[in-house]
Amino acid sequence: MTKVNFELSDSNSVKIQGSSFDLNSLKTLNTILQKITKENKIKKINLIGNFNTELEFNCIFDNSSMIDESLSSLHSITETIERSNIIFTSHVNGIMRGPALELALSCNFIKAVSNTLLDFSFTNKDQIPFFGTVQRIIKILGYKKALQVLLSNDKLDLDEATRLKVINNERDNNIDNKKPYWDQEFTNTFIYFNSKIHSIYKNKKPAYNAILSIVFESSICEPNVGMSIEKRWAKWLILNNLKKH
Amino acid sequence: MTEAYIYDAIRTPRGKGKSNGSLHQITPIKLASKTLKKLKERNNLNTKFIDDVVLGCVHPVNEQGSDIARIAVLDADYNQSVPGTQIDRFCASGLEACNIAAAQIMSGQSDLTIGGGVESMSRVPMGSAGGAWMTDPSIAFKTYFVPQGISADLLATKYNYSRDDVDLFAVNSQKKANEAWEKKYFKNSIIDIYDQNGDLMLNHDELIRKETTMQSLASLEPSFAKIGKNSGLDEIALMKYPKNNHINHVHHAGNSSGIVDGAAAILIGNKEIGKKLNLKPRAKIKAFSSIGTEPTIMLTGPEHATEKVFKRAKMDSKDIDLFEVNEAFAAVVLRYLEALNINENKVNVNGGSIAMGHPLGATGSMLLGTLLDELERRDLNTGLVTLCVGAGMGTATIIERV
Repeated sequence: MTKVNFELSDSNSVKIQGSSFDLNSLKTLNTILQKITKENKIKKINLIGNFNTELEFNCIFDNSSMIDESLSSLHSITETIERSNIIFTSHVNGIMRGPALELALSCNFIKAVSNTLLDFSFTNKDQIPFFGTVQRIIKILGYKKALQVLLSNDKLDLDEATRLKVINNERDNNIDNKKPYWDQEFTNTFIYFNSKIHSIYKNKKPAYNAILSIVFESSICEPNVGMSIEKRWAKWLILNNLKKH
Repeated sequence: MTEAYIYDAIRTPRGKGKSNGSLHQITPIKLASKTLKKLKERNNLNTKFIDDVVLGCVHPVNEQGSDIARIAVLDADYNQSVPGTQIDRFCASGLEACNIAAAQIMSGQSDLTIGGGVESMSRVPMGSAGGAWMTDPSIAFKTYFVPQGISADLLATKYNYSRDDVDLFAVNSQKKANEAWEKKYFKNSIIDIYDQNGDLMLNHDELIRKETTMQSLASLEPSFAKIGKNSGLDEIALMKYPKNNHINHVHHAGNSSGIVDGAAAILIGNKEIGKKLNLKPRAKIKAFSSIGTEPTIMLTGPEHATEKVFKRAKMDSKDIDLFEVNEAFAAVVLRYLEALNINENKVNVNGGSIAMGHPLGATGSMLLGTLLDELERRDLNTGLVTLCVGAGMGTATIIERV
């Protein structure tokens, strides 16, 4: 698998090349983001290229003393995209997976065509989205659907992703109408997913526990607190995985 | 230690816990305050002597929230010096409230207290209070959480209670409750509920189905088979109890406790206050206990709480004339009878929650009143009340007539 590289072109496009995210990929992306946000000249950026990617877990999280720093840098990338005054648009044609999917979800807009497929398989690889994406998915899909796609490693095709307003729909960061409310439905939803996951994986797949706990614990929190909770569980999972290997 | 005496016990009828139930149009605060008012009226109480009101309530949220006991005290026009506190020990809350009220007397810190409970299940539905036990994945996984219905079916499976066993128990509960109502055995404790215009809302337990037979119950589908299979809950129960290779789903709406609205209140005090206020003691609270048990099977608490209270009181089952064991599910009582080798003719002689319903926070205090009435009617001496409790607990109380 080729390492992911990012290339900023004159036409205000950032091209994603390769499929495997390592530390260098992240450094390059960070440099580009710093440059364009500091210069403040560009109004719109298009993210193009290959969105079918994966994270080199062992490379990025190889040192347990650096986990906090690594996670913060992953979070800061998507937060920079999300908070910037520049309009970020991902142009997708094909499978979206791994870190590139997370980057796309932090953009203002995902423009996609017919053979687009959003692949949310994280937990089956003992991983969760490490760029703070769980909070974004909750915000877009609501907590129930977010749990479903993340726990069952769902794939959303163009029709479904459009219907759910994940793609071809401008993101409004001020609207948060999917915030969970602790009612009977909330209780029943967690009873259902807890028991499903507990009975299937018998407490031996910590990524599933982490997703459940992130969604549960952040349910009543402000977005920044939710991000912090997500980071704590990400760290817990990484430490678990490092111990295993 | 000071003796704690029961001076009076009253309860509302139990109304169906649905929007067409006769108590649905009355708020829980009114249910609670009506019992307090009645207790004051029929004992001619000067309420300034009451040191505390302890009420059980399992879902203390929304209109049952914010310390319903104190607000009920205010609504019942008690002296403003009377405080109130709401407690929650799930299904045993009403009994635990009486135990706490009695403990205040026994410790010498209070002279006169009220224990009781309230639950309007039609207005504040079961599960409204949420809670980490069933929702927080880190707790649910650790405790092997399953809902009580699955626990009840696990209990029946583990101890080989068949569908016929539990259905027969339910038919008898209905028969006994119906007979008790026809013969007016509950009349001493029941208060009729009227609305603000003086129109009668309810004067009987409206859930009883006297026409219940084994045949009519046989047509009911098990309530927890589908959810057990589809949500993985059976699997979780079996992970904890691997010796059982399947769950036999035998419980359904007809052999489980009914969802109802209701409230109850028990007047408890020491000897001196009784004399001072011209109250006649009816029984003394001899001993009580609560205990934690394995939370997945959850419902075996009564036998263990009973063993604990027997030890404390230096008694055994032969010393007890009548038992009230809450009929949360038929298998709970069947297991209790078997575990302690108790004659079934001494247990729930006037039916129970399967026939009359289980207003969660109030049931324990209702059972205490029912037991006392029946001991008096039969001129017997000693009784024991016990309930199974959520998250694997049990509570038991022994009373002795005086």
